[in-house]
Amino acid sequence: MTYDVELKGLSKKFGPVTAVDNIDLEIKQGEIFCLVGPNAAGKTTTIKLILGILKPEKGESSIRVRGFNIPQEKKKLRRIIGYLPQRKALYDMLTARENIEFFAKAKGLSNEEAKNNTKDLIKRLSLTDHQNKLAVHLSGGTQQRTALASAMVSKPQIVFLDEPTVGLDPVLRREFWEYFKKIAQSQNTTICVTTHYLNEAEWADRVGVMRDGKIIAIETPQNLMEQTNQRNMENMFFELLKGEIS
Amino acid sequence: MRLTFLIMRRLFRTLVRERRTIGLVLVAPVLFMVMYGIAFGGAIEHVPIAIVNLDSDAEVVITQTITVGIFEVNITVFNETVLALGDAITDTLHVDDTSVDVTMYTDFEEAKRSVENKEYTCALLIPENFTYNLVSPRGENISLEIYIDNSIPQVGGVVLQAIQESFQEATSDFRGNLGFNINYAYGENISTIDFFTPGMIVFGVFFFSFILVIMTLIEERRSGTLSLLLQCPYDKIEIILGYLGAFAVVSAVQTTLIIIVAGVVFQVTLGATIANYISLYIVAIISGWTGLVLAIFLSAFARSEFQAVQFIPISIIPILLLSGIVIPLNQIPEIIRWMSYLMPTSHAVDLLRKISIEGYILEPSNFGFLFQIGFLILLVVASRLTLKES
Repeated sequence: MTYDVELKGLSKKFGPVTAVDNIDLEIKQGEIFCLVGPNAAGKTTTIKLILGILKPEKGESSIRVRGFNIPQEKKKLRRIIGYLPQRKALYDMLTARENIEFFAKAKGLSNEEAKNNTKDLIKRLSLTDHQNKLAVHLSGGTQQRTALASAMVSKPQIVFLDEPTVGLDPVLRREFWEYFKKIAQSQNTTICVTTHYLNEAEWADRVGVMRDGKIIAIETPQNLMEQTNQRNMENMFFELLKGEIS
Repeated sequence: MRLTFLIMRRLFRTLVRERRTIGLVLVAPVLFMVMYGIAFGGAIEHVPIAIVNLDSDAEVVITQTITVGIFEVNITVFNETVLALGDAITDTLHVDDTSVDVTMYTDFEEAKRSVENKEYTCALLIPENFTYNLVSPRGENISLEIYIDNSIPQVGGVVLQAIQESFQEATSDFRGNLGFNINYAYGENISTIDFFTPGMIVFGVFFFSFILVIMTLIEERRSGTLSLLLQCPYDKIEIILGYLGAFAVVSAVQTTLIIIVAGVVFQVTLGATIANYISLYIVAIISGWTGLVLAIFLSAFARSEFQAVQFIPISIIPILLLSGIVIPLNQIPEIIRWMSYLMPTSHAVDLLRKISIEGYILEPSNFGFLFQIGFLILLVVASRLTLKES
């Protein structure tokens, strides 16, 4: 089995607070992996550690992405990794299209590739009517779609999406997940998504449930629900908290 | 009134909780007062001048013819050696007057050249027979040659005043008519606006680049675009270079506007030749860049625009006060003048004055220019290290 992400004994503290507490995790190539958990569970910190934005606590931990050690070798991965931060990272005074194209070129795409990929994503993410509007004038949902397009435009092989669906209406959320499925299948892209909408995790191939900096379960959504005798992920989560399974 | 009190209480709470703000509220006024006091309280002192003294002791004999009976007799009513007044005045300037530092020269042409080379602000020629002509009862006209670098008018004024006062004091009892023949190495018809404009160019481009970039960087950091840029497969230095490239144009446009306003409204010409203007633009752009990279560097230590503006009093005001923009460097007390020399803006202002007042053309080996470039490179390296997502 090829793993795109391998974490061992990973911890991170901010002052007295332990944000990530000794976690082990593997993400397979081409799968959609969902880190789910309430706010402040440690999901964003985990992603930032994997990307090498934050440094882990010293110790026996290791982070490997596509076989490269993080953070020492993170530069080697920048062309193949996509990242959507929690905030809508867009330039207010550029149009939606200009934003997407800017990040395409910043990721190293040729001008022509950047243009074509941008065009393609504008169509796929239904941004055609909004492409020439300044980002500052876009609605929250459209901004989020533009930000997603900016993260995906370089056709990255491994993508980290931090709460991509936060603040979106249910229809748009479903569209996002359908898009993730399509990308994972058609391009064999490894997608790691965080969310605090517990039910959303059903869309993922596998789910890591986080709480207080720890991963309390890793399974397929179906297995998790079966093991807890629940029909949806939200109830499953509360069952987990009761400690019915370990 | 309820809301008024609520707002007052809320403001005090926020202020007290923002430790840096409370520090600034308490420290800034003290810092300002001390800096203003020291910077403006200084007198212009130790201006280097060169004196060529050809004067010598005068053997003064005054005879009078008197008639005694049928004889006409010449009797000497005064026969004394008057010690050279030129020496005495030079000593007075040298020892008693702190505004100038005197160096003796033997050749006036050589002294004039060293004024042109900026070693001395002024060359003074005390002519031969100065004392003799002065004490002579015939009331000779005596002319003292002064060759002065008046590119900083405040400094030139102090030197002229010191020379004129010391001569007038020492010679008022004699009959000779003392005159000063003043020639200018630089800055003959200089006005205050000529002096201020180069400083305004430096300060304008520096300040504008600083403010704009620190705000932009904080926005990049907060919106998350910076973390995306840092995930791109390029070195961080390219982000800094991108900013430098764009702001070179901004600084050039600003400089052009200042040149136009200075020329049209105040009739100030900042250069005579194209080479002067090219030199001027280079120095202005480097000043803009210095402000810009300082902003990138400091933005790492500010989490919000609110904290960013707090850098203005602690970084921008000292630059305004100590770079020779308002107060000439010679006037800044020596105890803090080393700070002025450490500021790249001081060298930029100095260079721009040389360019606009003396028609200087920038040479790559110029110390001030190299200092600015060195400082800029140092800041770029420091900014590259501190440019992080959070």
